[in-house]
Amino acid sequence: MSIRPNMLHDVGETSFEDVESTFTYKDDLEVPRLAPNSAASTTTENTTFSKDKRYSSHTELASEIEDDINYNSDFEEYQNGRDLPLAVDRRFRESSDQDELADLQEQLEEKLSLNLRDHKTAAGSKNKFSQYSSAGLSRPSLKDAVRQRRSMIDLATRRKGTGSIGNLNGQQSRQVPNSRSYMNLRPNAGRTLSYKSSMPSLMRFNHQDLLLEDDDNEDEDDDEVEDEDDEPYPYVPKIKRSYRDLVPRFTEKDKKVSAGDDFTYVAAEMDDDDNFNDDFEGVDDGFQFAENITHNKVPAFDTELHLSPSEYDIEHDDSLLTPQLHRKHFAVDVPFDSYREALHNHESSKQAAVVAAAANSRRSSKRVRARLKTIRQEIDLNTPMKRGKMKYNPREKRWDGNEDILRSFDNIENVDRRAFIIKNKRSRSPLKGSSSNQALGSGATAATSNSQHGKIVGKMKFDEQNLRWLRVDGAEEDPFQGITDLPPRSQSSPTKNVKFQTRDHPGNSLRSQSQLPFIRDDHGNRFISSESTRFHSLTTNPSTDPTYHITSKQLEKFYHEENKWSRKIGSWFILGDKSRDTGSADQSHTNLNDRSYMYEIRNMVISSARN
Amino acid sequence: MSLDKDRVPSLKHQVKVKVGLIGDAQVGKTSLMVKYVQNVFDEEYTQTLGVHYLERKVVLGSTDVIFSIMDLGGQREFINMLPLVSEGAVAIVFLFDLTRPETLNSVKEWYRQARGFNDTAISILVGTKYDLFVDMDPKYQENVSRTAIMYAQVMDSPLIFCSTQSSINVQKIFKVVIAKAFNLTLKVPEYKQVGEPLLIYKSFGPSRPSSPRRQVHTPPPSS
Amino acid sequence: MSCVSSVSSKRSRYDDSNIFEDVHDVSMQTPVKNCSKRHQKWSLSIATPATTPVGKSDGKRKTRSLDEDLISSPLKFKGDSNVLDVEFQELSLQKVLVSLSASDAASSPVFHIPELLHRIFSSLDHESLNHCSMVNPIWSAVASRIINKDLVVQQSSISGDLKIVELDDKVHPKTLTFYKLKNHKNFVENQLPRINLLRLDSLKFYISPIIPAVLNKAAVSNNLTKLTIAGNKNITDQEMVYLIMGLPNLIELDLRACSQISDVSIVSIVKHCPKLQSINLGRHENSHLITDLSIMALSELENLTTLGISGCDKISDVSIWQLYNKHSTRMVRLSINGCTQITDNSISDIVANNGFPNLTVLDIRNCALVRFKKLIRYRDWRSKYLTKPIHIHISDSMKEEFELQQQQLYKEFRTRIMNDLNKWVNEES
Repeated sequence: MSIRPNMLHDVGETSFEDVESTFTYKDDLEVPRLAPNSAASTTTENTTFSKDKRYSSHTELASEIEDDINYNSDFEEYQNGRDLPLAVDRRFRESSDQDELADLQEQLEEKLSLNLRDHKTAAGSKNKFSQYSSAGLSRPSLKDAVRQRRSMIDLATRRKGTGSIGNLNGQQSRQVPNSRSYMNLRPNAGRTLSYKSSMPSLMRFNHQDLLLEDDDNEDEDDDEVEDEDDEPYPYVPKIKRSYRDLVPRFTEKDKKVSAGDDFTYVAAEMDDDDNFNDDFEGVDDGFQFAENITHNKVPAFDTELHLSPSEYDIEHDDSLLTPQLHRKHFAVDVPFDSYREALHNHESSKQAAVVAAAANSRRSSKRVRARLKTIRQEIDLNTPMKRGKMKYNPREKRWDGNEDILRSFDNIENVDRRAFIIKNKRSRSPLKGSSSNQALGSGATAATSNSQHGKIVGKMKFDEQNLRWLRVDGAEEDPFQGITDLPPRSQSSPTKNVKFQTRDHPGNSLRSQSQLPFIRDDHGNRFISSESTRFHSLTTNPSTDPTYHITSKQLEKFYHEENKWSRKIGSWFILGDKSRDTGSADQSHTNLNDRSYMYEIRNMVISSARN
Repeated sequence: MSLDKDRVPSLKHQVKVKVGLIGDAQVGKTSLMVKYVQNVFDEEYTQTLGVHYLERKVVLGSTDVIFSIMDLGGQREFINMLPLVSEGAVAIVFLFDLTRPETLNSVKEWYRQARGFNDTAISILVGTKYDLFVDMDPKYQENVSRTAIMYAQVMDSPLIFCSTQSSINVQKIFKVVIAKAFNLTLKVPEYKQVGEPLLIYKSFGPSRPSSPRRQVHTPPPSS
Repeated sequence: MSCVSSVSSKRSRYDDSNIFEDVHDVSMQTPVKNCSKRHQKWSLSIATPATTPVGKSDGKRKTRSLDEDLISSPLKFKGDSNVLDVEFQELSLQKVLVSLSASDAASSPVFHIPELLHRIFSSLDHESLNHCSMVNPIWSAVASRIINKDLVVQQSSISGDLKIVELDDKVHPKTLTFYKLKNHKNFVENQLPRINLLRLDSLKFYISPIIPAVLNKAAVSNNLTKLTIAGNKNITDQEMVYLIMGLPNLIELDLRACSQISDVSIVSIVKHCPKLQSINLGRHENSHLITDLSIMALSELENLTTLGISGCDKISDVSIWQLYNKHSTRMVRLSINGCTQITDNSISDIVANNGFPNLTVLDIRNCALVRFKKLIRYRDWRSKYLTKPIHIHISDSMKEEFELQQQQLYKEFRTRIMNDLNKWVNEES
């Protein structure tokens, strides 16, 4: 609840009651060396003060009289000339140490910053000055030397590592931290992606105080984040945990979490808060309800599938992938547009402006973090990690540890499994198959059972290899004999930026090819765009086509990106410089035209600017 | 001797809600996030190289709700950042592409792994690209809807079909998050018919049954 | 031996330090030859650590430094700079050897880097420093540097004799503290002449009589900015007025428990110390001597930031309003502990309405305050929105009520939050 003071260092001497508290002890030797109320430890006192529980250690009205007596006796001590308790003696020395520490710190900073404060010491002033100048001049220079040397070492190793300037040129030198040039787009290009060290590392990541890369002019937003840990609103209802704890299905483990210090306050608060208890009334029932649901059937639909007997055929058609061939059978009563949400919900933004203006000018309604931030990983994705019960499996690229949770999907899984077989054999979407199978129930098993030998329906047998139906008896006849095939359509021209019009849309919206898996050509026929790797799926059967399909749009993007970067850093390198392109290691040392050092200079400039 | 009353500070409460968006590549996680925060829909696909992060502040009378939304790149190479997105999240939204049923299958794995890091978060199952879906074969629609509902049951999570492009059910996702997180009674009508943009939240997810709402009395302290 | 070589090899690094000149007159000159002897003494003093008097080693060093022929000035420290620069060149290898063999504790070459040592020693107490100063010349020089900067004069607890850090001739303390000194005659006669007070900026008398000689000496430099006269029940207004007249640069004045000081002194202080920023008048006795008049006077100070009036129960709301009018933005710390006449009508209302926007510490212990809600709200607001949180100190007797009101307040907040959320969630979008 209370917060450590940020700004208290400028008010060193803290308590006004130092005298009282310092002079009240009676024990001679037993006084702990850094008692909380010692005159010296003012800063710690500050913090303990604000914690409610520590108040007892300080003077109150009731005990003040007593204190006063001690206090007086303290004075008597001095007046009567009684000996001092040793403990006090010792304590006092400590206190002077503390002051001194602060003093030293102060001085050090003074000197380092070359802050020539006016020292009034007449005698020492001259000496002081020369002191300052010498200290000020040589200290940083020493530092500089060290830094420089370090970067030189870097330079050396870099050269050594890359072996030749040619290499340097080829891969690393042109790489800009944080960028992905075309070279990097190649999958796993030798892990040459270098990320800024300022990027938050996943391992270090703590979700509470997530450090975001602040690109620019977002500085003022920062305090918003900073505040977070302080929990200045203990009364803000704690989300999930608070009520979750009351839900019976959560085990003791969860409760333990909530019983942690952070939440006790809230929990306690809730206990005596009738309203809140009301909130949790019946949570139990809700839970039961949920349980029921999972065992019962779907609430929204009855389970019967109304599938026509011809379902089987339809399934074999690639209806799943060309769904638009089939117009909608049923019309939803409500027109499509009626589902639309109002344009951006600027709810009470007007109000916000008023409030913000009134409250303080630092906040305005626009102070939302409206800019998209990207957090990138710093650690290699092949690094095994462990986090709680979860273990990262770099080979499979997934987190293992709670596979049991999948058991709850078994019901669906069972349905899917049969579909899966079909899918594997027929490259059919599992879902489509699943539903039809589910619908057909046992009837479908007949079909699947002999899937080993290919499906046989009536007289026809499915040829798995060529994905076609053949007569069982092999008496295939081709009525189209003699008619030559037309040359295949070129795929590229009609697919580019097809206007896609949904039925009820007021205007045409343009969807890029990348987002639209189904492309119609001019005749309204759909064909399937080959699945690019971007349609990556987590399913156990990853997409099969490893080829990149780079559209002209993408190429254009690459081109612009490349241009952008070369504008930015181009002058640091001479593109097409032969010595760099073909240069050998020997050449690199002698060639005067070698400008790779400029990159080093740039690095130094940037890093020094950052410091 | 009088106080300048204009200086009276107004104390705004903040409710910070972290929402993680998880799902296969190109199901529309980033678009959903950007749409919700900035009301912009970009047709252009931008691959998320890591985790995208956006905040949206919803300004209410005495309270600011701050959604910090994180979306994890759907490619497997980013899955080692899953903890970053799921840990500490109040709600984890599992997205799948209504036009690509295999993305729904993947939800299983996403769900498992995300739960491994955060088994208290409210999970929400969201089907995206409803605007495309709605024109597809009704049988297909029915199948997908049905399977999605089964998934929602298993995951005990509200089910929402949305269209970022057409602004359907986008806001509602986040309202459902808040309603579930704070145990509020949501009165928004559900959509349960196949063909509709499904919005089923009452029977899924942590909630109390429709017990009488907590009497809310507002004795506002002078401010 | 290996250490030795590493030390000598390091020498080159410090060659640059030629350009530093040994400019300061306080530079320590310590003979290395006596190191082994000192080490023996050290183990002796370990045996009786409690009785080791402060500054023992300094005394020894002083006597030794008389052996001028031994001084080859191996170490030269520059003034009171925290960054100590050492010239190693003159340190012959042999001497290093001697010093190293003297102590295992200093065997690591790390402990020969004065800057490091200084950092380490800075966090030690005086007693440990005394021990350290007996290890080897480097340690000794570094330690004495720290010890002598802050002089403490106090009565020995064992013998009753006057105990003071044994002083070299060239000590320029920055702070001078007298602690429970009953008889200062000895100090004034024997020690004071050797202390150069020109650099003194902080003078503290804790339950000690004022020593006019010291004050006179210090006042000459015009440097004194902090004066503490705590627990002096004998000092009268008259003495105070006289004393204060010579200290126009005073910034901090601590008159805690000086129970004879009255409004008269305060008015005079305001007149003579225009730079005063911090004043503490806390007391248990004679609270009637400090009245609203004092505060009226103090509020005329340009730079007043810290005010302690603990126990001055004659001070009323009027004073707080006066402070608000005059020092609204300047007040940083305010202690009204036990000021029973100050009520919610002043302090609570003003603070809760951001009347003192820079206030960081507010001590309202034992005050007659009952309305905390606004204060709590303000405190939360501060910690949420501003970088400077405010700390409100309350006493145990108020705690119960305080927490109750806090709970009520938070409950209201919570209700409102839930209300807002509910409204938002269900509003048409």
